Amino acid sequence: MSGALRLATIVMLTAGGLFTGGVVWYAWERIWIWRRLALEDYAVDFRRSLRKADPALPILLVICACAATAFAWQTSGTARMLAIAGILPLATILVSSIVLAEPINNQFRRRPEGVVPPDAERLRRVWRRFHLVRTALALSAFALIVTAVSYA
Amino acid sequence: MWAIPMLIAGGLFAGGVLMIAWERIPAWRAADGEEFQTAFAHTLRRADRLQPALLVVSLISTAGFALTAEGAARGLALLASAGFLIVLVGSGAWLVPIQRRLVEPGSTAPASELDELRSQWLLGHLLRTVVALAALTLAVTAAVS
Repeated sequence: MSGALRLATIVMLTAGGLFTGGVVWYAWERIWIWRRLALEDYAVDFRRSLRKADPALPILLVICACAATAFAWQTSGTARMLAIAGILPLATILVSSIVLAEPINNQFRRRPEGVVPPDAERLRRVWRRFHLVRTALALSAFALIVTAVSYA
Repeated sequence: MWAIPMLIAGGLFAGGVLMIAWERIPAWRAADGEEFQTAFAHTLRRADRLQPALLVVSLISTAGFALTAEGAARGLALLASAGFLIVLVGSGAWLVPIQRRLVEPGSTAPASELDELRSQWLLGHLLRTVVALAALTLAVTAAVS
């Protein structure tokens, strides 16, 4: 394995692991708690949580996807095919988060803390379902890039 | 055989502890005593079902990888498994007793003592996060060595 490929692999696996672990953590812990909160409490907690997660998780996702692209570029055969198959769900997460989740996030973000947006119950439900799908995609992407490394 | 579970469990575990440090700890620092205890108990109820299992799988698979690898990969994996072991032992010996005190039902401990326990737990979790991140990086580097 060349130095450049080794570096791309380390960055891809580390960022990918942290991103997937973070997304799984949200699905496992925050979503479970948010389902049980009154809408007023949910609006406060969700807005505060966004402030922390929003820069961190997309950055890890983009770093992982870029490193996976560099990995695919430098490999061939099964390793390259699996890496490309892993990049696709990552790209899907990125685009769908911008198109589907961001408008919901903005409904909470642009209001003062404690103000519940209209139709908040539906927004909470849609966001929860979207995040569970995003989690399944992240897990499959991470499993694919980890398997790709074993063929490199 | 060992690399895939080592990387997947290690990544999920480190990502989880990182999110607690990054997202929960600022919220818990800003919360008042009662609010903190309620939120902390809710998180523990979920975390205790997932994080220890991921940590044990990470530890076993990293140790298994170290036993079957050679050279630099073995050394790096041994260091990574030592890191996961430190997190496991440190959590059990230091943080779990604090957690129990913090979520004890009907606790009559004074607020100052609970604040001190909260500070200790938050510090312990930050240390655990640093060690977990280092162990993940070592495991990943071992896998590509």
